[in-house]
Amino acid sequence: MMRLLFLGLVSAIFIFVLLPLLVVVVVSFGSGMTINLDPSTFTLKWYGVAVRSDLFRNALVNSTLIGAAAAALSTGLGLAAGFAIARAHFLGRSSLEALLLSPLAVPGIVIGIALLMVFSTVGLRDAWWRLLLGHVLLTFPYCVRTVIASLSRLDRSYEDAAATLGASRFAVFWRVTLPMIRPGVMAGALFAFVISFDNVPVSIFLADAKTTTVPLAIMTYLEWNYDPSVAAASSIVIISMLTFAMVLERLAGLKKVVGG
Amino acid sequence: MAEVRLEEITKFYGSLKIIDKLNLGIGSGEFVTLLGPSGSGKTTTLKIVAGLELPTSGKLSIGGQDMTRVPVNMRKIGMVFQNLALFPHMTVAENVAFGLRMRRLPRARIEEDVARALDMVQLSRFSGRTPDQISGGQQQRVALARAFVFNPSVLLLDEPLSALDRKLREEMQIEIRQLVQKLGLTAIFVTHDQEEALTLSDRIAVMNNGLIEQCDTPAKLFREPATEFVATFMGVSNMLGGRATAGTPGVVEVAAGNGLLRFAVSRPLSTGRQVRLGLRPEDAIVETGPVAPDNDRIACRVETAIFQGSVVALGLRPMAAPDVVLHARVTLGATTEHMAELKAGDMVGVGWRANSVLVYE
Repeated sequence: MMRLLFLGLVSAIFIFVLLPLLVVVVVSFGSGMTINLDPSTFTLKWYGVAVRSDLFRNALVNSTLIGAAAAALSTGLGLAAGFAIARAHFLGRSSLEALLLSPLAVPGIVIGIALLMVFSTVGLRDAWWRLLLGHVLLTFPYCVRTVIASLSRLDRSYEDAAATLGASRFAVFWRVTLPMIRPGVMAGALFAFVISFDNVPVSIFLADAKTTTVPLAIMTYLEWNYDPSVAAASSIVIISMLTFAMVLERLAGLKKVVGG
Repeated sequence: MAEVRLEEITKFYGSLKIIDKLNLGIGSGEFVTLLGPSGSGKTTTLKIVAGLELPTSGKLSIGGQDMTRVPVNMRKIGMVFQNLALFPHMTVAENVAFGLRMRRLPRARIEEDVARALDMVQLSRFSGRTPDQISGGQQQRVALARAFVFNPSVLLLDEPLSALDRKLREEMQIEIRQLVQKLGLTAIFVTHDQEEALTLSDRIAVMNNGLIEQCDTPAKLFREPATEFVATFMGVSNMLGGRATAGTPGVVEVAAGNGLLRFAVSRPLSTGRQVRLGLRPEDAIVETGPVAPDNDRIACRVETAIFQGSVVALGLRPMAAPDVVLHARVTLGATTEHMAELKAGDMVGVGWRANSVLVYE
């Protein structure tokens, strides 16, 4: 009885979370200019419109590249900072950790305004670079966090063993430490990509008319239009994110990554 | 193969002294065990030899060379860790090859050495498996092969058998012993298990509070523990404080509660001297039935009698001093067979030969 109840509850939560996504996908196949749920009239027309639209296409390219670059940079920096915090002993170590994690606690909109002011002061006009730097700031805490957590779970004896076997410090890191904390590092990178990809409050201050991201493009479009090409663009994002997660699962074992 | 020499090694963690001016020489090809309770400094000593810890002061030399400040990866030392520390992302063969690859040996040579090492530990069939696909005993042997494959000058073993069950543990002890002998390696083994130390070692160094209390052959250590601590650690479970009442040969009276127990000892003592007596339970002479008044056995009532197959472990309360419990272990044989039937409440007499009584001042 309890099991049945639990099963029902879990299903309800899943339906609640996934149904809107499903509606978006269904709507993207509708023929009319408005939302239409009649399957006999389904068409791929809006996908054509979305793909041909410079706004959506450029936004998708920007978001993907910025997301990947931000994830890569944050992961690299996160490894370095995480190592220092988890392994080295120096004065002010815990304050440094708190400082590095602080972007998590500041509202995105505040970070956005602050970054805009800083970037215009130093004269950084290129929206692509502004977005990238802003997103690195946003995603870096997640990467540091996962690196520190992975390292604190890793028994030192593996690294000690490698050292007694003749491995230099770099070889210990490259051949033993990094492969053993890879699931955690990959999880950090994945979070970084997703956070960068769907960020609005910071991006909105840093983007410009020529360089925009997917969520901003959808918002801009919805301000003047309401047709299923938005749903088509969203569906493309949903499908590609799902594919991305599945490929990652195959390559690195996402279950291990997220489940620990 | 090389001799190891620790001279005046001292180690502090902050203001905490872990090892206190430790001196130990280990001969080439010798198997020495560091035996002691947790916190005695035995693992720290091992880590100093490995180079995983640096001593605060003192000197370490291996094969006649000063190694005190040589980095761990330049020491050519094989080490087996308590948790084995097999790399989970590598196969058995890759684990064993790791030390050879780090030394940049040619590929053909690596393959040859790995194959030979795996053959020695009978794991050739498992070379392609990962550590989680083999049993505990097999993992143990991989860790061993990985540690000796590159011909280390010293093999260090940090309680490597503690995770195994008793039977496997005993098998592995013999296997380690034979392997080390065959390879002619100098080995330092760390354990808190007294039996394991006796089985494996040429010499045992008993450690307590960062000091070596005694370093001797297993037989010497067992028969003649130099200190009370060593005696207790080697299984001398009866320790009694008393006062010498006669000089040559010595007699010691132990006051317990309102009673007195008398023990003859083989060495001369000055009268009135306070000493501690160590009585090994295996050396107890037990006779069933009541004790005649002229007999020097101590009359006792059996409190516990535990049958352990070939041995009966007895807890005895002397009638004259009921605050004391004397431990005795009787090996069952032709003349002692009937003792298997002893039970709580039975009367027995117990005594120790004067030359088996250990005296500590």
